[in-house]
Amino acid sequence: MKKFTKIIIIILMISIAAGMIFPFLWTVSTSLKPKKATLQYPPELFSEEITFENYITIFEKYPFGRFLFNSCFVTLITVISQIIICSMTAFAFARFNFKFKNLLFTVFLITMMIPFQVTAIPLYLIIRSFGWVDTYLGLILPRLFSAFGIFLFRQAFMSTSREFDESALIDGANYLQVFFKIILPMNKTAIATFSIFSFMDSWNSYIWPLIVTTNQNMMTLPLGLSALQGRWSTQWNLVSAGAVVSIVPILIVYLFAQKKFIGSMSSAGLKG
Amino acid sequence: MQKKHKKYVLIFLLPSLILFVIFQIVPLIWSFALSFTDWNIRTDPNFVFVDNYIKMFTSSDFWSSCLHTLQYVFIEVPLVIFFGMILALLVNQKFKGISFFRGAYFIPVVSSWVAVSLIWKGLLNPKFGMINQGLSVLGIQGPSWLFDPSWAMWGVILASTWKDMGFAMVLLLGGLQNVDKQLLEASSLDGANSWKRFWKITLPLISPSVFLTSMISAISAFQVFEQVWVMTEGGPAGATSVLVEHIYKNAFKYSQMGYAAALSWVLMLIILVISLIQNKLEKKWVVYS
Amino acid sequence: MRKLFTVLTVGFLVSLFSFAAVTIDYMTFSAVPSHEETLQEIVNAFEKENPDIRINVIPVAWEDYFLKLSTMYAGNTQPDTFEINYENFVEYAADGLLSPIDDINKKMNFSSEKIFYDKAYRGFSSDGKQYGFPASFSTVVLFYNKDLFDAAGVEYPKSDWSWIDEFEAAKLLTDEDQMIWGTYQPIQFWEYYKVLAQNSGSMIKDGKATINSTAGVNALKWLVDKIKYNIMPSTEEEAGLNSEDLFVNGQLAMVHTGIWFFSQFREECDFDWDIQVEPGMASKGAHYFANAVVMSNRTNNRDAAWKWMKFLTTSELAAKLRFEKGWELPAISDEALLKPYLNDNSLPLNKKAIFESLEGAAVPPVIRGWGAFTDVVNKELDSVKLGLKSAQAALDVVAEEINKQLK
Repeated sequence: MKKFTKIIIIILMISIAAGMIFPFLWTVSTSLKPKKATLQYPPELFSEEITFENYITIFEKYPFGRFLFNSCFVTLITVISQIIICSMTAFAFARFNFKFKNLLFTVFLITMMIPFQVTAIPLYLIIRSFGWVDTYLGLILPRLFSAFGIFLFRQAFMSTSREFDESALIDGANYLQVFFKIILPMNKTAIATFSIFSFMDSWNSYIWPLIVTTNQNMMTLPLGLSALQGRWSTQWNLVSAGAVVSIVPILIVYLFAQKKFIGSMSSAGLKG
Repeated sequence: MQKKHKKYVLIFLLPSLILFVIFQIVPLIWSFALSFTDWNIRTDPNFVFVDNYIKMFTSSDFWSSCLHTLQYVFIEVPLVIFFGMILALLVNQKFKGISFFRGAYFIPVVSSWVAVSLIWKGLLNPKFGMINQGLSVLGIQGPSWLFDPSWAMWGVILASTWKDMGFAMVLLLGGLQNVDKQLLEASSLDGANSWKRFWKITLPLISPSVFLTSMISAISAFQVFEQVWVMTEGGPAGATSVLVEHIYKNAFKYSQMGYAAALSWVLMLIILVISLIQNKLEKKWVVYS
Repeated sequence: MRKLFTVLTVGFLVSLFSFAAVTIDYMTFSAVPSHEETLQEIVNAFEKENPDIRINVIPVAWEDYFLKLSTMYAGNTQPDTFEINYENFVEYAADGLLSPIDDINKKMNFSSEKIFYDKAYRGFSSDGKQYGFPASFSTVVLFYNKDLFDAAGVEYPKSDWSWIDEFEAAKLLTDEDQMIWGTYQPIQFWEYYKVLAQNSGSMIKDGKATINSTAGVNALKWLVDKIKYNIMPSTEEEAGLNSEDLFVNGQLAMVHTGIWFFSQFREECDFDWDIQVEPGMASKGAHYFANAVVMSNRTNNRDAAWKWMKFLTTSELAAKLRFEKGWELPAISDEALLKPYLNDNSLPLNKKAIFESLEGAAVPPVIRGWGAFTDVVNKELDSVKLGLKSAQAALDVVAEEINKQLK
């Protein structure tokens, strides 16, 4: 009986996986088609001609290499900075008591509910006054504050027993050391989870880079994808190639992060 | 001890605080002021008192976008959590190759909406799409999905659920992984079957994660935009027009920044109310160790 | 010592040179995505002729263009010169964001007569002041697939066709089993105001909305009924392809679309095709889409900007390249330049139909809040297409909206 259930589960999991992967396969196959083949209806999975010219086109005709670099650079800096800043802030909320603590946290939370569209234009004017238009500073700094990250880390830290802190403090460590040497390493899952979302959010960010860059050399991948769509028609074979270039890095990051951190968790007996 | 304490609070909070004030508070206040003007970005703003708010509450477009947004939130979020939980339970197993499944289920989340909407537009095609073709095998004639005002929102919800459930899965998996195995084993020795075990032990233990997931999902669902914009642009005949799409159109298509600012403030209030309600529920349902 | 002296002198001259070089921004949407190279050729030629002026091209996709432009104005980083279409020109000029060029025209002894199409030139003036040069124009014509017509034994469309003629021909050309339809005309705002003109109707007359008159209702019915009578594919039957792709695939015998598709059709159609003036009803009507190059009101180098604007819109090289690459058409009236274009062997052969169409050119009445207005109209048109409303009811809603705006 048990083996039967196991087989059913496996079959279920495989079919779900197929349902998830198929559209990605579709994008890849479209990216390998010459333009004419993309107009076929009913659509075929693999056209007779397989070509890499779409990839060549987007790197030659459009500065996709530059877009790729910008996205990588901006995202990397953003993710690392966010992890440090958000976890530090969350630590303050999880471990200390101070005046207005709950109010401040609620206020931070509220920012998650602000549709970006509302603050985008005034934000641009502020950045402009700093002279940061078309700079990496302008692309990165305004997006560093993450209430989501603070929320996530606070949740994780609140579930981390204080006994660790206390024993270290008694031993003469200061709070910074407790934070960096004990709390952070114990919450690798939270770090991994957050970095995935932070990466994705930064990588796929569209409206802000659109507003804050005018120079094509400073643009990021989503803008590049959008540039492949002209006023009148869209070249789906090129868009698909661009989409593949945009998806692969995130996928790699995700697979790496989840394998390393999510998974076997060292269960310090005090947890749970 | 008190003094030292204070110094550290400041150190830990300062980076976020500075970013928060400059890049969140100031633009927010600015946009609140804007909501009382008729600014079109290019020229100087004129004060128009509460005209924007009056226009909003007497606009049938505004109310229908509210309705559609609520429709989306109250259907998509429960679906996402439900399927996300199933996925999380499935990938919480330990066997060789489990990472493959975790990776596969997350691919939709990671993909860009341009690519995904193209695919789903194809899947939902009334004549050639696989959804309707599959239905016809079962003898059902599928609807016109994105071209039918009564079905378009369902098409968007379908695609969104598919794309978002991996997101819920990751958050919920984090919670599942923290569940002490010993507790589970103890209960199975006690004779409880897996269903009861799930309800009475696992679920309460991962309630912080469930709360977090539903909070995040709800807040993000209220702000649904990209998929609506790319798949239907709010159509057909306004059937999928949602709040953020309405805001976006007014801000960036019609350059009515003042009106758009007013709209977004109202959206924010709605989200605030819902979150307060969820917060109250947290105190009831969530168990912290 | 001599070498050092040479190096220093050269270095000094070069820095003097680059110091003296002025940079002019030029922002464009029509070059995106297929004509950026063509534009670069024009830029290179200009820079060669004017070594003290450098052009900084800012290409932005159409969807993002006006958002970008607005934000640049708000932040005082607006481009010196930029491309603009007619509808937005009216609003930008009214907002005082453009710099009139009459003074420079006078200084440079420039006269638009004999150079630009008068209508195109006048289109970009406001309140008696000239704000820019028309860069290109385009229009919508009737494309038809000769092979399909031959196979069905139907006569090619003639320039004096009426809607009835198109209808009859389309009926004969439709073969639903083969997934071939007789014709296609988009049901959206730009098509609508044009067929309104073709039916001698109008949107506004004497300060009041007249769009919901009988002429208006019948014009709308003409657009919508084609699907009803099966001579045009319904949205589901389009199966996600746009009409131009369907035409290329050989699934449409006729299609109403823009001349900017010439280069794409030349490349992709494997059948013989040509164009014709669109059929009218009570009269003839056609689109007149014009883009101009204008100067912002805060640029520091007006003379240099003017020189660039003039070169882009009137130089022989620019005109030639536009013809060659199918990048819209220059709005120039110089017969000598147009002649080789009209007579060359590239498809479509019946190019004179473009200019014949222009005789009935209908310019949309641009009102304040233009963007929102077109969306309202499109939404109502959609409702009629989906069978949710009658044509009369939909147009009544639009008329109400117009009257509101006119107040």
